[in-house]
Amino acid sequence: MFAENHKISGRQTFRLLTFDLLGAGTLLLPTVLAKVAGRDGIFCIVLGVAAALVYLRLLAPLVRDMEEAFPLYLERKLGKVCGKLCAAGYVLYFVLLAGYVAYLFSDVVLKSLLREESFWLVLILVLLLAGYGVWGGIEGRARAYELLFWFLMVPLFAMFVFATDEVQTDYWAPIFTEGAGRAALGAYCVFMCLAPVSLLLFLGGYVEKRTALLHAGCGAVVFTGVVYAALYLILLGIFGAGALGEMEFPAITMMSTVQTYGGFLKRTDAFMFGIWFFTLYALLNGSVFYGGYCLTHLLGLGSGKDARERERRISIGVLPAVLILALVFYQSASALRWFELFLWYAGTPFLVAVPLLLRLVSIFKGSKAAKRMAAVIAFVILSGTVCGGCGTAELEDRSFPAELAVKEAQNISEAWLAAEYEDNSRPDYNHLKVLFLERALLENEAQTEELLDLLEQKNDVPRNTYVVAVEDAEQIMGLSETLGESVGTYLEKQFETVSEIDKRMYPTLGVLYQEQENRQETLFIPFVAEEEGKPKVTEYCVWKRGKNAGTVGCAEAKISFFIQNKLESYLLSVDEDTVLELSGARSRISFDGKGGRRQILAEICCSGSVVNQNGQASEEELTDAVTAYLNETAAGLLRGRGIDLTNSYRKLGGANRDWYFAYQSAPDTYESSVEIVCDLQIDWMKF
Amino acid sequence: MAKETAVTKNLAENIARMEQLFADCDDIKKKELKLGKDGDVPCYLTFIEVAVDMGNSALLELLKYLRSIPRDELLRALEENALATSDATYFMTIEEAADGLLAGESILFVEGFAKAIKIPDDGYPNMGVSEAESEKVVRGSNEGFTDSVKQNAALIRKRIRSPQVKVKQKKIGVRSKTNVFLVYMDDLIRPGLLEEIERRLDGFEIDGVLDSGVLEQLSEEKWYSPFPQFQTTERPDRAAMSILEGRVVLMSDNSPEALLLPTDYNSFIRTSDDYYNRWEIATFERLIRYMASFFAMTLPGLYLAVTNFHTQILPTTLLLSFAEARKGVPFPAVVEVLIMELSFELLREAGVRLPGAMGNTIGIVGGLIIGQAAVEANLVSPIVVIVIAFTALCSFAIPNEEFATAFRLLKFFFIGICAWLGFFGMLVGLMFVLIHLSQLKSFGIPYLMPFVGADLNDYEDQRDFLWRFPMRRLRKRPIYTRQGERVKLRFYRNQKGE
Repeated sequence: MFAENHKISGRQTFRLLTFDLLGAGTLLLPTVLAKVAGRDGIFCIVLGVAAALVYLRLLAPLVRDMEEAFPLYLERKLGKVCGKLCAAGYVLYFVLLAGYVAYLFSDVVLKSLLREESFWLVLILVLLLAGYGVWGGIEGRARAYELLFWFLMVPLFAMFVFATDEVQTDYWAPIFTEGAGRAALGAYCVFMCLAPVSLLLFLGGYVEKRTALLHAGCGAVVFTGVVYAALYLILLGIFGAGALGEMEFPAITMMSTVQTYGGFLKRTDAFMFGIWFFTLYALLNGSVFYGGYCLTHLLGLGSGKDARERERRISIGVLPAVLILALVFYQSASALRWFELFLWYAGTPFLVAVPLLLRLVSIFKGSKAAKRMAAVIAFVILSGTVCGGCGTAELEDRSFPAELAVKEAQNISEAWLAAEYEDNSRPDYNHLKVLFLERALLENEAQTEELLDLLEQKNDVPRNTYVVAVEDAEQIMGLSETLGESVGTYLEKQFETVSEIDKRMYPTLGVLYQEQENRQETLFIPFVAEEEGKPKVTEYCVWKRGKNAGTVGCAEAKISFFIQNKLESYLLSVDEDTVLELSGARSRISFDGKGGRRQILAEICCSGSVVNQNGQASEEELTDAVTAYLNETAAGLLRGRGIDLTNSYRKLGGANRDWYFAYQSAPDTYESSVEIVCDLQIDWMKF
Repeated sequence: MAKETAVTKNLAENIARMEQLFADCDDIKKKELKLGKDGDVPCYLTFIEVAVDMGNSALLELLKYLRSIPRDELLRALEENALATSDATYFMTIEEAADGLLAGESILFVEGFAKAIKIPDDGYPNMGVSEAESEKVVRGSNEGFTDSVKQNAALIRKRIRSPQVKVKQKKIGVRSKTNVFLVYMDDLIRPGLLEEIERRLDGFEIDGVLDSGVLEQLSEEKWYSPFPQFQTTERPDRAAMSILEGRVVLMSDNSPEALLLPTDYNSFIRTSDDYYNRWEIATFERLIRYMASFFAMTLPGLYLAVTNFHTQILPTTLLLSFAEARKGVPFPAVVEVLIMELSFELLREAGVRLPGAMGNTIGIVGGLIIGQAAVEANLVSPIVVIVIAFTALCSFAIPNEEFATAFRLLKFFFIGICAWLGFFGMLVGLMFVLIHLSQLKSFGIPYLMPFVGADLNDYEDQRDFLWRFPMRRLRKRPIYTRQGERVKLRFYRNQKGE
């Protein structure tokens, strides 16, 4: 029967390899790449993919030449001793990798899904699952991954689509700033993540057509490269390079920020965690399988009757070693650090180097001098790669605080406890809507930073909690009784559905966390006070590049939102009798340094209508009056208080590289050395 | 093998042997008659009383004929098999004759003739052709299989009138000697499949086979799996459709359920009227069934995972209404879900066992009155009732009862693991089920075809899985069919060349 021939198809090979490549890469690569290459990371991905394709091209003759299982091929090509040594190296690599992935897998599960569960329990369950998967042999694995591919790709691409809404393309620029050395290091990191493509050599014995194997390898590299690139651009666009480089698992954090269309699901991180669950499982399962496979051949048990059965038993026998290793990584941070270094600088290079060595042996086969030369080159490559290079509570027993007030950073724990004992229930902050920060706290830079650091550690506080400034938090919190609903829910509704201001203009905790690292935005934190028994935004506290910059009135803040296209319609009085409504704004920010004056040019096109007018001013006169008002206000704030209503600093990288580099070292001089010029074109509606 | 006794020309010896075999069997009629024009040919007729129609049957016609001819001519007619009935068969041994008798036929021994004569009749009484109880369709025939394997074979032949349809008979059960038919299309079946089925059927010895379910359980490769590896049907059109796909239909006497093999997940989700209705609605309904199979297994677990572990998933207002609904319920959510699930299973079991009208009453009493009362008594919250009801609907939407049962059982596994480990438990459970399914095969066909291995048949099978392509695009048979015989639909150009 064809389903029992221990053969897998080209499509199954492609999917197996894709899972092997996506696993840890999508989880760990964005952070590493952001640290190493920042905004140039995307080019590193292109270079890394190209390098992996060249590498595959080098492997192609080996794949065609190989007639037996890969460990036996190693012995044929390198001699019995060298072949066995290499096979032993592979066993060591795969068992260590399996231990690391098992640790990483359990750690991610605990951090993302089960914060209070035991590491042991999660680890054992994960290993049992891996054992069961390995028991099915290559065909069972191939079939499982063939189907899992859709379980993985459909939610991943859905999440990409949802996330595009949050992406700020300004964060992608400027490019080519990190230098060739860092770009090369980034490309090396990408290549190392793609290096497991050499595992296709292990699949040689299982795939009927060798060309299908090579096509599957190329397809997996290109496909994974596209996923890496898309994910990196999205993460960079959401968090910015600075914040991205500091995150542990940014892709999972992204899942907690992004909201699905329609709003049925509040946060999808738990669901989307499934993506990494499946890829990490695949990597773990693959490592155990390949480890067992190599060990079987190393022990000389890989051929003859019942070879498959022995292979399966030996693979299962590897699991206790994996368990012990995972526990060692869990218990000892230094062991983990050493292994990570081993993986980057020895393990993965070994994975890359052995096939290259085989290739060299094939090229120089026959000639003694050539053999010696090959051995020397192999030694150099190996030495180079090794030594150098780069308990839960029931639903009704929980409370879901919608707002939390903090007076000073130190009292955050008290606030937590107070919420817990308020109605004898366990607070679940997953539905926190608004965080009230008292003005005094916000004005204290050190305390604000301390608070944000504290909150970032608390995993159940959503990143999309709105941050609101208040004078007296208790007074505002007390409004819940008169409102008939929690003040947090009321304000969230105001920001998201009632307000004409785009909800993205209201800073959230996530945005503040990011700004601590990125320091490039001018944010307007709404200041709320009581008016007629309801909380109302009366002014805005300005947060400039992570620092408090005083307050502005609602009118001024609205000008900023209007210039940034984040205001649906803008009502303004030109004089006592004339009220205008501007809507549908489309603006463009550019920088002009002619004549020695540095100007920020805000060109705005919008529709306008006259709501109320007693005088006889013409359309041109009205346009001029509005333009003058905008210029006057913007210039006044810029000169007087150093507040840039156009929020242009973040666009510097993409629009003007010279200015970007000039202000990188002295960002505080930016507002004092530029001018804002608003150029307004209004398409007047006539009724 | 027990020693067999040959039928002899001596009628008394034959009678003695038959009387010995069927001593104390009062339901078996044994008559000594005189045949021939002159009544000079002694004979012995034996049959099971209810199995033979004495009023107007082939037996009566034959006896009339044998009484109208003289002794010599009678013996010659017997020798030359020139009897006035088309299906008289001769048995050489007493044991064969006994088997024939037990199969519901009449057996005639004639003095001076060393063979027993089997005279066919209606055979044992059965329920006759009636409407299929399960697998109802909106469009298409609702004819169902009967208890008689021969009638069932005829119902298939009625639909495929081809000499390529072969019926292989086997007798299984040392004591029951149950007739088992293997029906297949000779030129479509994959090489080796029939031999494999026979090997498995011959691989055990059992005293009696009273239903095809016994054969199914004894022939399954992975007997511990909750997923059936044989597909059952009580619809002749479904069986005929399978035969046209190169599959084998295994039918057992006394069972209205035929077994179709090999099978896969997708085959269980397909229904007959998927092919009688237009492709758009067939596709839509199939997607619904796939979703139903997923939620029938996971929904209660998902509810527990979300409400106990991952409250951030739900919008706040919905979550608060869930919490409000649970106020006053004295049990943890998992106990509440288990109470409702077990109540539902009890109601279902009671509804199935009770006679038709009472079964319906139980459904109404259980569903409406007990559900309402349980909510009002604060035993369960309304949201759990909704979750369980939706899960039940999902399990009923799965077209095959045995297949649906697998999901019903796994549902409890998911309830347990999700109550323990939340969404992580759900992922572990899903992965476990997926690995299990990927390792499962039915006679060499991966259970997950064509989700996996579709390239083996040039992706043709993927035209008929989650979606069903328009009928004119379904030109090839699925992977079950022998290679080179996969084309099932061709279009001819008309005279205009269109």
